[in-house]
Amino acid sequence: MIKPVGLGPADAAVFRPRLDSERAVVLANGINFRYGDLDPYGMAALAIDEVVRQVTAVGGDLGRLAILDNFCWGDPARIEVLGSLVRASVGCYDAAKAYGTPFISGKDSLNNEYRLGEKTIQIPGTLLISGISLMEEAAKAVSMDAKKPGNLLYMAGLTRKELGGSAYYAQQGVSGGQVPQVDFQNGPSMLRVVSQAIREGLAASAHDCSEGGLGVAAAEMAFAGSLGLTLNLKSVPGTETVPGTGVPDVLREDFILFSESASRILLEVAPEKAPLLEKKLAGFPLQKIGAFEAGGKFQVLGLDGKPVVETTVAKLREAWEAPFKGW
Amino acid sequence: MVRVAVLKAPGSNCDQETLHAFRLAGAEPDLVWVHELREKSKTLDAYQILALPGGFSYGDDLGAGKLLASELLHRLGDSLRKFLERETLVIGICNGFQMLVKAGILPGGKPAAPEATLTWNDSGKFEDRWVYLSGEFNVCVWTQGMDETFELPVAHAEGKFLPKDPSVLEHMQGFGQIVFRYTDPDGKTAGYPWNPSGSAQGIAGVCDPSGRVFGLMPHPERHVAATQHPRWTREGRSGEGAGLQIFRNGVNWAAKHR
Repeated sequence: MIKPVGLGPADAAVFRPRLDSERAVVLANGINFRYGDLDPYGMAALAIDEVVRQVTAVGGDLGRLAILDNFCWGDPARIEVLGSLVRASVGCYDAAKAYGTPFISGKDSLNNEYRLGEKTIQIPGTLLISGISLMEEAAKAVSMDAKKPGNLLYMAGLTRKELGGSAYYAQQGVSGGQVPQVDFQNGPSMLRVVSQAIREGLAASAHDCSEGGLGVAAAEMAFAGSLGLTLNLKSVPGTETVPGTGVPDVLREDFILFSESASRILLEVAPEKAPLLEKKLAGFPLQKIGAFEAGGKFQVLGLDGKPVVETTVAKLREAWEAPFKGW
Repeated sequence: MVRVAVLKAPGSNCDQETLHAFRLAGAEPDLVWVHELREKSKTLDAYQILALPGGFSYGDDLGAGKLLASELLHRLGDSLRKFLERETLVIGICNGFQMLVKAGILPGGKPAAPEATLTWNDSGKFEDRWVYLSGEFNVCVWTQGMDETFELPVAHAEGKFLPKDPSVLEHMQGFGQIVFRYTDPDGKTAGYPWNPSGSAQGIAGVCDPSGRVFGLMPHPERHVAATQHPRWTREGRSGEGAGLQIFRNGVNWAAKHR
């Protein structure tokens, strides 16, 4: 019903294993080894958070979501390798409890190291979380491609200065930084409501913000639907201080665009359904941050309202397809 | 109830979807293993329709569909001839189409020296995606009343229809045996990527002169529900998929010609 890669990168696969039933199975995967280099606990929490976001985005049932872990690590006889493995396991425990997602199975592959003379190469400790959920009616699945000019783009969830382990820092050659923190209170409670809203048909499309953050997710929605988009960065809901520190959180435009803060979902909403969505998500961070339009113009307006990105969805699609060109 | 034999060999892998499509079309399909026919624990006598599903029968050793085609001819030849002499229908999808052509059953309708083959795609690779198809005047009982242009998925590496010589195509065209051609979204015959294999004249499906034996590279059994279409969520598609009509046509025809 929904392929992993269609007009754009889907959040989760939706399929009907029994041809004579309308029920569908949802399969989602959360993974990002870059977080693990900085914070294995954070990596585990984010991988589970990503799975929950993905299942939410396609309209799966969060109440019937089970997860699996796949650990790929180095030699745990090394104290720092064992330490990161323990931290990742604790992250799995805390996040799974917070989201109410039971681990039903898993697999580990340790000692992934190779010695060349005196040099030992070890893989980055990497955790893959797979999620399996159900959908009563496959025909209610929601895809990530933007559907209609005039529809509004909403961001649910807070954007913070959390660029550690991000695709943006990797591209810019920046190391270190704060790995996104999963809010175990507000994350699950907001995503549950977002999930309800999507399952009630309030979103024409939905997409989770993960690798590449808002900028990449919004671009994917636009080019998958061949629709233009104007995005207002000053409308993006954020925090004014770094959580728990009281330190002012100075957001730069590029940080807002590419921060990978957890528990965020983009929702495309028809104008007539917007009031209902806002009512449903009252009390949670939700803002209208843009609108889709006919034509292929993709622009991002900065904090002063002036364009900071001006491109076309054709160029964005070309960039997305480039690695597999000619296949 | 129209009875359908969906013939399975080791390596066939579209049999369940094909059975499901025939059930949706109102028939009573059975999965029949090729060895059950060989050992005579089942016969084709009870069936009105023989369906050869897609997959990689016998690993496609010696060429796609080649081994099962030989088995159909040489080990099951008598029962197959007997089946074809009755007022029966045959559909060969993808690997099944390759078998029908390599056994020489298509385009002539009876086992004969092959007049065509299905060979490697010009692209040299497995092409797995949705294509646009258009029908034209043809005698095929399986495709009557279908939309002029529709979409189905293809998934094959050896789908290029290649006749022995141009007269074969002229002959087929004259008898209304060219059923579908690959087209662009506007319904015009076009080259790669619209024609995924480089098939002669964009041929995607052919039938015999009687219209009862039908072979096609695309997979109608993979589009019996609208939600299988790649753009169903953005085009608001619901209900049936374009492929179901093919199975229904076959079943309705068989019900009338018992």
